[in-house]
Amino acid sequence: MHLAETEKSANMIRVQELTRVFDAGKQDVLAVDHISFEVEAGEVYGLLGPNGAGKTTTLRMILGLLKPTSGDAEVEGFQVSTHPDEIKRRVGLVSTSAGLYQWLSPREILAFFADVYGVPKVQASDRIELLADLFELTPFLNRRSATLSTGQKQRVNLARSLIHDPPVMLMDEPTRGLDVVGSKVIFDYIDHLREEGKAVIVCTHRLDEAEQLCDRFGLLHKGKKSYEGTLAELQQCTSCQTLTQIFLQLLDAPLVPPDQLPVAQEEVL
Amino acid sequence: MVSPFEQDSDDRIYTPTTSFRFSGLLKKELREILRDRRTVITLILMPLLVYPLLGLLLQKFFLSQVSKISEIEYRIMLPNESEGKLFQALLEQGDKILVEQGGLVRQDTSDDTEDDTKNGLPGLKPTKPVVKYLIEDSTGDRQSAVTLIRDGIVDIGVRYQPTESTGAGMNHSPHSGHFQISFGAQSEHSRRAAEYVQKRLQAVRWEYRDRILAQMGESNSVPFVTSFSPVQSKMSQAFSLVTIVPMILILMTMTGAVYPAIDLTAGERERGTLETLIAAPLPRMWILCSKFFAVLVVAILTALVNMVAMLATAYANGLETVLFGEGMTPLVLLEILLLLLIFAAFFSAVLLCITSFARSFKEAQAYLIPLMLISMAPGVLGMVPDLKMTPIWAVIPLANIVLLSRDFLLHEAQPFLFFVSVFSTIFYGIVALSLAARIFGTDTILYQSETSWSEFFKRARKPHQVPALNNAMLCLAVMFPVFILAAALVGRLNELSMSMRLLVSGSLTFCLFLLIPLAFARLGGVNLQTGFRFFRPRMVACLGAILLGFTLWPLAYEIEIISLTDYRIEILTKIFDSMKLELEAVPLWIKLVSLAVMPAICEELFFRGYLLSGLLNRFSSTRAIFISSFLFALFHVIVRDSLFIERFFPSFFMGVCLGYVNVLSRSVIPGIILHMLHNGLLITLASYQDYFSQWEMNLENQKHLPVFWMVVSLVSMIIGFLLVRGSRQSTVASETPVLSS
Repeated sequence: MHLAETEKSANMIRVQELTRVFDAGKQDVLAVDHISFEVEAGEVYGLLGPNGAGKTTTLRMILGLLKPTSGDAEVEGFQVSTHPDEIKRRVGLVSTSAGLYQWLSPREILAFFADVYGVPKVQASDRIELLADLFELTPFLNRRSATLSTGQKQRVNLARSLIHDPPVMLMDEPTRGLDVVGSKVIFDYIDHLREEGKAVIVCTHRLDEAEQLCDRFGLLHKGKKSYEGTLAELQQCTSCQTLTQIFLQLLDAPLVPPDQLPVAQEEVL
Repeated sequence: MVSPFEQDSDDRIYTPTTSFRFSGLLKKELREILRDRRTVITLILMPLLVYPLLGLLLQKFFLSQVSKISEIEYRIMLPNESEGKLFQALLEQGDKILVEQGGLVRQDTSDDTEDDTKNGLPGLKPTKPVVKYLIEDSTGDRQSAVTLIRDGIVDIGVRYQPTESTGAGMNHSPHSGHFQISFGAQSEHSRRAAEYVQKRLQAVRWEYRDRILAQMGESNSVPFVTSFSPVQSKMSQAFSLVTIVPMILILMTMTGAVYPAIDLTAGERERGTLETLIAAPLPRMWILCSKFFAVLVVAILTALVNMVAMLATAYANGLETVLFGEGMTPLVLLEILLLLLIFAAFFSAVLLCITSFARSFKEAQAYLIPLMLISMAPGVLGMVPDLKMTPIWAVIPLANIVLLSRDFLLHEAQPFLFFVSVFSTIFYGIVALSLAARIFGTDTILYQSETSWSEFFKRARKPHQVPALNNAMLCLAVMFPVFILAAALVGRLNELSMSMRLLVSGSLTFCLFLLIPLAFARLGGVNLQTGFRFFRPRMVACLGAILLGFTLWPLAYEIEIISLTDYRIEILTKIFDSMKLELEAVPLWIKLVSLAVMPAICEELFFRGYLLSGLLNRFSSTRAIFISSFLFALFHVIVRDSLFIERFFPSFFMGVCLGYVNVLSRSVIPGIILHMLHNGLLITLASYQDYFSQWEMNLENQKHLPVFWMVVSLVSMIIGFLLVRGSRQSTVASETPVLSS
């Protein structure tokens, strides 16, 4: 743990040889295959790959929602295998599939999560006001969540993930199902996180967005990490201009738009 | 374990306080579920609508019954006046005969009227039916009578055919003939009228026959006369509706719990809020527990609202005695509420267990429908009239609660069966909850598209050193009902001799306490040696155990004496006196094998082996010992089909001693030795009582043991424990201490 003290400033997140095998009946499926990477504070790391490449599984393992078959992940020196709660305390999660409690108001939801993460009452109400301002939640802060629009719900969710001011943020397909305005909110949010000096991992298959958002990329394919580096490094190494081209070269597939990349299910190898 | 974050404690990271978080969690669950309109509908609107309607229906039903009772009228159609006179005379004669026969007529009238008033509306005495005779207008047109019966205008039609021709020899009587009685087959009233008439005609015939028989001079009397005198049983007086009350309450509690259970588990999963919650630094068990309590609260609220609505309806419509019998007092109300609470806890756990597995609302509903149907079955069975509560019923969930609440209403509840029902229900609840804990929020359920139940029952791949707590508790929960059933079974083997019964019960207990934990150990992939704490002990520890085995009994005995009242002693002496002769006939070795050796081995292996190692997994050793001792004592309170509460304290004491010996020596074997010696010594002492009584040691008459004995026992107990403890210090000094005192 002393090691963690010294290296904390450099690497907030460290993923080591993370592997997950799903038990799918007769045959086992290798969803994530010995993935390692590190993310610094103030860095936005893009975990890219087609559907079923193992992005979400990797995120879930970092957060301790899924047990890795082997390997480990560290957040600020805490290992997920030994201190899952310490990790959960330091990590915020934004997931597309995340919903809101239908019968509670955004204020109640935020207060509840402040409670859960142990934010003291006084600070909690300050933070709720702050986040409400930041995400423009004030007009509907006391309305029942079921009555909110998709964009409003998404903003509440973003505010929720920041309620405990975590140093690490994990985002799983944050722009899926959002219009231009909604995506803009996400972009601003990620910029905001970078400014705050948080370590961010963004999972997405929207390569165009990733180009704008992320500082560094890790390209996943069939559970393996194929490339890693900044856009410049990747361009140099693959002699392609855009991420999309890099990706298609990686997949060794005919030219199709990235959104229609061949779908590889987790169940099928 | 020293946590690294104590040195690393970071201002930026919030450290939550435990109690705060759990109450927050619970508050959120309750808020969410109580604001939900669908909950509110089942909770308030349903009872508010259902009961007044039910009450109205019931009242209508009873009012119509009452009017029927006050004037029962049988309309009899006769072909002409002369035959009518003849029939009327016969009927009156029959009536008179029946009255003379005394009891019969009472039974008869009550038979006629009580069919539909079994619940005996108080203050309404059955009245004698009025018979009205109608004469057919047209001469003997049979069709018209039939039509009138069919239309319900008359109840029965009578036709008379004189039979001079058929009965050639014997028929000298001018009246002999054939009455043909037609009645409406579908009308209850008409059938009853026919019965009424038939009974009276039969009485005349039989009286006539008896007279002839007497005249024949063979004997002056008929072989025998029968008369019936009805004895009212307490049960049948209030049977049907009294059982319905708890049944309805339980059904309503069930319906109340279903929606929140689905919504808070499968529903949350479907809406995508569960992942957020699991991603928070909360123990998964807390999340489940808060959900459990939320479901429980809604279930209890439903039960309360239903009870209030039911009571209000009953009183408003004046049906309280019909519905509750005479037994509704505030105390009974409380008792029933307690039962409902226990049942609701059990059912909520079962629901959560099932809904945790479901991935969506629809899937959960699909699972729950069969469950609801299955749960109806024992409930409906519980409504069978005159069904006695037995140990077997007491371990059947739902049915036990229905029967028990009925018995409470009738003031017939037996403490033993109450105890068994309550504890078996609680145990089942624990099983369900621990299963739910195993399922709830696991990654397979959260993320894998296909899971099957078998995954949760699959043998663990990696062997475990000790059983997980929920495995041990599950084992206990299975054992409890089986134990009760086995005891009940042995109780029925009356035809066997005492020795055989002892052996059978001994081996049954042996199998039970050994095989069930073994099965669970296999299921959980638990290493048998470490799981049952079956280690080779140090010699010194065994010596200590031997010393304790010989010297603990005066203390245990004294504890039992202190906890006994004089009244109980009297009863117990009676029981043992009745068994004394039988017991004396049993060879000592059989007693020793079945009451000392076998129980010692199997109880130690389970309570201080499997269960204790499971408890030590989670609790400090002191707590683990006390919990296991409590359960140990609980099992000892049940003897056959009755409760011996006074056995609790000495058993608890022994449990604690044995637990400490086990933990200190880190092996189950010294405990087995101690247990065996202790039991064996008591049995031997009892067998040679006469011999020992010369030594002024009469256990029967003398209540307390001499103080000197107690002191010796206490001193040697201390020495014994020191010996056991000493062995530990010398052997495991390097290992981490187990005992945290």
